[in-house]
Amino acid sequence: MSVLEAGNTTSRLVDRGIDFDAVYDEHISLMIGVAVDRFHIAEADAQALAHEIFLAYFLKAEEIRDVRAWLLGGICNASRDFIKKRKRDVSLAPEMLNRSDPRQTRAAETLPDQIAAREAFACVTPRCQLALRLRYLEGYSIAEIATELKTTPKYAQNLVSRCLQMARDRCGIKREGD
Amino acid sequence: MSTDISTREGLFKVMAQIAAEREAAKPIVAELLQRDEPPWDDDIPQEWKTAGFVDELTKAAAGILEKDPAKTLSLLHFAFGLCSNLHDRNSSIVAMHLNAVCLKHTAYTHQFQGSLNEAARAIKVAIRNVDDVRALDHEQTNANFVLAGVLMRQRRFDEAVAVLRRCEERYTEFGDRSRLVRCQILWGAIANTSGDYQSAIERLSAVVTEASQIEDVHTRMTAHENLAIALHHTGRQADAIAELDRARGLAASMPSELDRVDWVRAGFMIDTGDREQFVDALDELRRIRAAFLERQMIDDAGLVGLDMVDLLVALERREEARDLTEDVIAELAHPGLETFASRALAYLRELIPASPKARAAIRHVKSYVLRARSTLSVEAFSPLDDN
Repeated sequence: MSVLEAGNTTSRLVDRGIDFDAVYDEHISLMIGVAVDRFHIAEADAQALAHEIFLAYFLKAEEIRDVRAWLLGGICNASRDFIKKRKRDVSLAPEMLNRSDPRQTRAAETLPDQIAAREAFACVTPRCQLALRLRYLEGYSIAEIATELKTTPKYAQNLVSRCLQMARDRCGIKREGD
Repeated sequence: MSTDISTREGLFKVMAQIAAEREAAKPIVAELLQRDEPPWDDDIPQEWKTAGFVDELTKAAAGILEKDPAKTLSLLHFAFGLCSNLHDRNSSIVAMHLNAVCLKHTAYTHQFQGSLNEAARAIKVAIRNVDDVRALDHEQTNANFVLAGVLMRQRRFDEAVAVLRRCEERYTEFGDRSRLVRCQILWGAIANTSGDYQSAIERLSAVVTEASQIEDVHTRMTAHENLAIALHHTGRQADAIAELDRARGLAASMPSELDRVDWVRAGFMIDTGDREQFVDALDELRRIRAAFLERQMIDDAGLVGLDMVDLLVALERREEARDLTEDVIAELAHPGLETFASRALAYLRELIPASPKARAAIRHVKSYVLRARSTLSVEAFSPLDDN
């Protein structure tokens, strides 16, 4: 049962018997403090990290026995990862600052494809969502899809082709060269 | 667009939305569980395209694994497809978490059904998908723990140990005692499966008391079952039976696990070499095989069948043994094992009617099946050297 318990001045998120406002109030300062003091992360970044960990905790709260240890373990790991990635960052030379990111040079061309792909997933049937997801997002081969769905490779190939066609028909996605 | 969770307001907005979606999903998911098949070819209602819905459906599917693994897999596939609708909602952490959890249960279901290659593939995708998401470190460790179990069943012990060691480090950082107990039990199971029974006894004896304090009955059952196997192989029969009884008591609410424990017990009976016990074991194995077949646990049903063939030969009921062999080989002839099926069938068909070495040959074939189902590249089947 989840409720937003309305008080006089505020409402509280209580889900699966856990008062998340209370857990947040009890631990968030400590989490941010650990990231700032022990890992020397700026407070704004530390808060963002702490919130990511808290959201991950919310998603599986019923599995976690020692909340404090879990949240502290989470913020320490996230902080280490944050620092590791930051160390890999190299400052740009002044003359580079006004140049665009080379990864984004084709953004105008690829963005419509990415949006179209997402739209394609949204407008097909569940069977096709699964088939297209396995094939194009998770990298399964046709043979692997066949094994996963306990069918023949021929059926799997037909399914993927049919689903691509459905995506084209329903979402107006064009074939290459159309 | 994703909601910004860097503020308290944004974070709680996302959490409250998911909580509400979960509540809204409950009656729909309950109705889906009653159907023979999810509506694969219908258009998806908007209220199903939510994180809360995918979460509820995944949990509900995982909850019926023991009762109906085929339906579990079907519903997990359905939920996995629905993950495709979550890109722009909530936060990317939510979508990636749900994707990983869904794949983790999919892998576990494959493992439950004996499909180890499919299990390995699914869990590796789960691990890869959350590899760069720092907030999902714990979930990635859970996925790695499942991978360690799959690797153990594939008899890839060095890899299983390496993955398990990393899991222990991570769980220690999270202060997750119950997961650390599970790691100890898996260490014991790896020792058992690799034949290091003394080490298994040491690890598992140390952990069963601690395991009794955790809520997960399956984990506790696994600890006692593995300890029983290790004790049996070191000749401590009475202790082994006592541990198996404890495992059986804990498995009472899990029919498939109860059958697996009874399969272990039948194995103990076969090892006595006592013909009277063979007859009892055969009856027990027949019941277990039928139950596995009904739950579509085909590989395990096939392996139980080979144990039955072994007993039928020992009881000189060779015609029944030959007929059953043909059934078993046909069942095990899934993709990747076809070559095995035809060659091993011919091999056993020749030997069973009269050869004094038929029992050794059956065990040789069983060990081949165990190896073959753990790798995609099946080595050619070769008969026993001294045949």
